[in-house]
Amino acid sequence: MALDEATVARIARLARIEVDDDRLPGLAAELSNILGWVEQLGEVDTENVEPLRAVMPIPSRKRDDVVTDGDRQDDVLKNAPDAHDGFYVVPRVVE
Amino acid sequence: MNPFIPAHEIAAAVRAGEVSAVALAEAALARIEALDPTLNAFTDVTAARARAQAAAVDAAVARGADPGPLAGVPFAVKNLFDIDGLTTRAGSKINRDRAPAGEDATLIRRLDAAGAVLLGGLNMGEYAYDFTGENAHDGACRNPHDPARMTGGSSSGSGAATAAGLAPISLGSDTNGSIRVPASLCGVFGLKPTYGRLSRAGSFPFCDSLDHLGPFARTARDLALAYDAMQGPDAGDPACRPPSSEPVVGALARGLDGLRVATLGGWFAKNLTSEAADALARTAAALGAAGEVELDGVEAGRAAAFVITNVESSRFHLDRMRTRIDDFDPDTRDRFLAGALLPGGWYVRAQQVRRWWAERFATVFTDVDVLIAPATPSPAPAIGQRTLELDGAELLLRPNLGLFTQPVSCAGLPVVCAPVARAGELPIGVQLIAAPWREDLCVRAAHALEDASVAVARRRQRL
Repeated sequence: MALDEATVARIARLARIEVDDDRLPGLAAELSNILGWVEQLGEVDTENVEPLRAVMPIPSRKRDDVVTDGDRQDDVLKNAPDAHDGFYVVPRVVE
Repeated sequence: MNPFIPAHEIAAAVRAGEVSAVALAEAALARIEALDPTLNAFTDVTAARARAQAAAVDAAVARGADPGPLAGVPFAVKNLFDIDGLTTRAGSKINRDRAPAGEDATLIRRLDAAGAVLLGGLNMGEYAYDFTGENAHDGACRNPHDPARMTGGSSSGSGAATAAGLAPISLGSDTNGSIRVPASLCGVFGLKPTYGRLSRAGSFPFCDSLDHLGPFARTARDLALAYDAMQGPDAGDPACRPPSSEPVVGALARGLDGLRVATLGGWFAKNLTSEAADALARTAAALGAAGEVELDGVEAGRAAAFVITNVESSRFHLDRMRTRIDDFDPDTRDRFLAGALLPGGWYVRAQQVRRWWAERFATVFTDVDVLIAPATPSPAPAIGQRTLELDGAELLLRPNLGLFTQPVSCAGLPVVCAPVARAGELPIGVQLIAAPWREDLCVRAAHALEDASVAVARRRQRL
């Protein structure tokens, strides 16, 4: 199946890609080519085929359940405008 | 010094203190200076770094420390790998405006840790979208066996550098065949591991769901050594989830013992030049192939690879296309643009067909350990050639160099491409394919072919 240039120009506009007129013939040829591949995809019955997320199963990543970044009270309190006895001091919000 | 000494012999000599890594690095740098103006394999030479790394290896040997299994072995990488301090151009003009990389890619760091010495970055097809080795910005990479011919791509410089004795080990990437095609046309060994085996962290991508990284070498043992040094999980690449690190060097000694080998027929037995057919026949005989296995639906598997490549790569490059389309290589510009216009449903469909195809392929491996298939339909075409005559029909060269590699990588399977040309002829390779995570079987088959003197990384007399 071949696509004409007007169709290609319209598709490009929908995809929000600016394509100069002199590029339309080449683009039409590439798209027509891809249509050929898609026709071949259509020859496989995928009715009961699960979608594929990765061609090799990718088990979810697990890390050891340990504290890797903690016990740094002094560093954290450096962010505070004021601190007292290891706590942030903030303006009183409830009278 | 003979520039074609295998990496494992170099490493043994360096570790024994018989050869200095600095002398090896100097020899490699001098050879690059002499030959690269003809070959155009290197885009960056990291001479100062090579000298410093080599000196560190020599110092380790001098104080009795172990510098690693690849001690003093020079290597080079396709320029889509990050090299600390260099801009990762990925074969493009556009990426030259990026900031230099702040650290090395994971695989470079692992080879470093094994004692190997980085020589520099290598030429490649723009954004890895290429089977020819031609590059509009850096010029064509030239085949060491005949500089008027293509190296194949997109890991063009990797194939050329290892074939020419500029670097006994090189690294490349393979999305649809970009390691196997140049390995075949340049006459060296190449390994595309199982999808997810080697970390891609610190490399510039092409299509996330199809991208693989892997080594080139002049012997199966060198290929195995480099591969082993690079294995291991890496949090930097979400797809890198190997079941475990499984070194393969130890398996080489087992040879063909118990290996069930067959040849892929049908799709893989057509569209071959006489050289490619001869390569297959001699490989099948040497490996004692029991017969032919034929798979239906190869066309659909390949079509899935095409559509997935189009969609993923165009999505990845969309902003660059919107702002700098004229700076793309004219040979791939329209293909990149076209990929940006495809409906999402086609992509989902392609991924479904891919699953179907990968499952069909996997069923073969209940009865067979290694499958033989052609790597390229022909030996290296001339630079600038646009078409290829196969079975009496004239076909476009660019897509069809990947005729036999694309369906295999689409299924994510591990493959070694082994060089099996007859002496005096242009190189050509065969694919040795195994079940997922069984790189050991591919490497064993390649090593057995070498033992039978069928697989040889030949050197060109004048080089």
